[in-house]
Amino acid sequence: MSARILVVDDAIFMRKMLADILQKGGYEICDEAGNGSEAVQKYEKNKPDLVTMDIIMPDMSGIEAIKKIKELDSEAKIVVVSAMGHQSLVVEAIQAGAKDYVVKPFQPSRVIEAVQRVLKL
Amino acid sequence: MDEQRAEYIKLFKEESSEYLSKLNKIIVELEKEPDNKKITAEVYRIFHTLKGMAASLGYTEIETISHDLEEKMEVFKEGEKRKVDADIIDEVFKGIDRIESLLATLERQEKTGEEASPEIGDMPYLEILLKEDVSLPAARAAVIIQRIQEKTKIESVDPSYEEIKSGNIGRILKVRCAEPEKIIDLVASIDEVETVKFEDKKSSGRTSPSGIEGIRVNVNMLDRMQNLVGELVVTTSQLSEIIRSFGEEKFQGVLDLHSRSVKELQEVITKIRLVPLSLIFDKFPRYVRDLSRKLGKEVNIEIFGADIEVDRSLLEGIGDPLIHLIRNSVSHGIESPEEREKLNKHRVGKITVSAKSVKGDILIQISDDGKGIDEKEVILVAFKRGLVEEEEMESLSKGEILRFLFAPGFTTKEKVDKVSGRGVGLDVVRKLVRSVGGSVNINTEKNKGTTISMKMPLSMSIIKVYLLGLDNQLFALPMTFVDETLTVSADSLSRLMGKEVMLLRREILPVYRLSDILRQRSSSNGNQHAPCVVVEIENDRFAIVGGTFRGSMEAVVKPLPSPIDRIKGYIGITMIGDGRPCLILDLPALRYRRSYENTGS
Repeated sequence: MSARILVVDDAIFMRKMLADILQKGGYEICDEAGNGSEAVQKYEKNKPDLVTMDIIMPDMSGIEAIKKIKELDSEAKIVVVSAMGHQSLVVEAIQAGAKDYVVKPFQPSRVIEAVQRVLKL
Repeated sequence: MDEQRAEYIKLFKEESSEYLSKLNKIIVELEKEPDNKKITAEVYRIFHTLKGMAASLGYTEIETISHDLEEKMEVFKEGEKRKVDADIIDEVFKGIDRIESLLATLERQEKTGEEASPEIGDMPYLEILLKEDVSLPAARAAVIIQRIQEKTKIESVDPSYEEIKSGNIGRILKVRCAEPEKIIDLVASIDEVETVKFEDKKSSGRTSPSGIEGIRVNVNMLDRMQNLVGELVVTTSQLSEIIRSFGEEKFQGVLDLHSRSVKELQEVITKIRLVPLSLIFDKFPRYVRDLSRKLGKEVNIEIFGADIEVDRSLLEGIGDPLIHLIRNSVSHGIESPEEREKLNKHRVGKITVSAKSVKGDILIQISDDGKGIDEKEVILVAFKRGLVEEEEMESLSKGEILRFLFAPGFTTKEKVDKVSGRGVGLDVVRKLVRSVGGSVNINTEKNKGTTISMKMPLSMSIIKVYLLGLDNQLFALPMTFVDETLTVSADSLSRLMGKEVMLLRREILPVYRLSDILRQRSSSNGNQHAPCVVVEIENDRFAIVGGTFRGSMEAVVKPLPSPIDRIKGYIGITMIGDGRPCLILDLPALRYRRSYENTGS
């Protein structure tokens, strides 16, 4: 059974791109979320194998969402997807419990690599 | 960290910064003369030296960069036909920038990372080198730390967690943890890691830098020393006053010796505090190069008088204003190459920075041969902003018009651009220059260019002053503001349009009474032959009469005690020979604090 992934990003465009890449890579997109609180809800509902998480989002930031998800499930596997120039936020996200990160704009192979790596942990 | 290493690091940083600043300067020259083998060799040598220094301290990244650039420069050296090209110049600049930022991190590590890095200097640790193309290295470092943490306990990391969070890290991460040998494989398996080494610093030797000619002294200590010498100077002159009143010959001899020693001591300390202007001037060529490239302009910069030495505090004070002015010249003064050709000017614009000593002061001028400032537009903007009345507009002199450029209102971008861009932050420049006891002048001619002159005392702690008496009070006027002193007869003063003026060598100068400037009532009337001081400040020349000359002296400047320090118009206070305090006038502040009546007496 292929791993189930929850894609979180406030831009529909980015969600679409990520979903396409991941599906092509053989993963199943179980759901999508457009902000942090939605991500937490959908994590609880779907119990995905992995989450790709944007950081700067309205409502609840990715970092907050990571913390909340970690509270729900300390084993949660989260990969941060963030734009260049937000390095300190990425560091914060990792300290909050994200397992890896991918920098936008990304190459599809990078996304797949990161996801594979984290799923293997 | 042991003390010796700390000392080496300090030296290393100081010396490297000097080398980098030199590189920045000569590379710009090399770019203009790509076949200059002498400069090429110099660049090569500097990288070689940097490499060696960095290697001795274990700064692998600086070592790697320097080594790389050293090798690249080698093919251009003596005997080789190849000329230096733009690519290698860019690469060298990139390398310099990177080393500079690494040096800055060292500084921060020393300040903040004392708890993390000390042990790491001497304990065994894992040295992890990230791959060159890793994006967001700090985030990658955080991921690696997290991986290690899952397996074992981390004692400390270098760079520190704070630095990682701020994103300010290089490619090297050092981790001291329990059982490092067990996780070395785990770390090595991470894709983004180039190499991982198990390092035991204790076994590796360190070489010491040689040829140390000076010692480092804390600047605060120097300041204190100078203050103490200032006190000595004052008490010495008080002593000599007292002894003179006793008329004791026996004391006089000793006192003369004592005074001489104090004077010498004062000179030595003043000298110790001196640093060459090249410390900031050397940065300008690179700055102008980068900025002009960015703006698509061609600009050459010429620098004169970089070897002149000034007080450390002054150097710190003028760095920013100078950069401000150079930025103005490049971005607003100098036209684009196409525009310049249309105006029959050379494609390449020229900026000249010159420093010279003038009667114990320092005069720094920044000139460009750009478009200059259109006075008419200055007046128009001044009028629109309510700085000038319509009736006055006709009668303004050029100096008065250009003075509007110092008004804070002239700093906003849109307005400034209309006034051919000049005036960006000129009020800021003036403020900074005033704060070191100097004044600014602007000279400009449309299509010919602009010159900004800054005149400042060499040191702010001891300045030369004229003593002016008014009734029973004494005031000290810094010589920096004074152009000349002379005696005028009462009949050489006349009135022009209701204002008192005097004729000096065919120049009509406005005349102000000292009492008016100080806003004091004075009982003294002008004598038949009255002393007169011609001052020149901020595009304004005028004469001050109505005071009496009481000589000149070197004044040790003391800050005003509270609460009178809130009164504007005085730089500070000094003691004169008999121990009386005497206020030092801040002439620009007094002159322009508000308008006062210029009616004469």
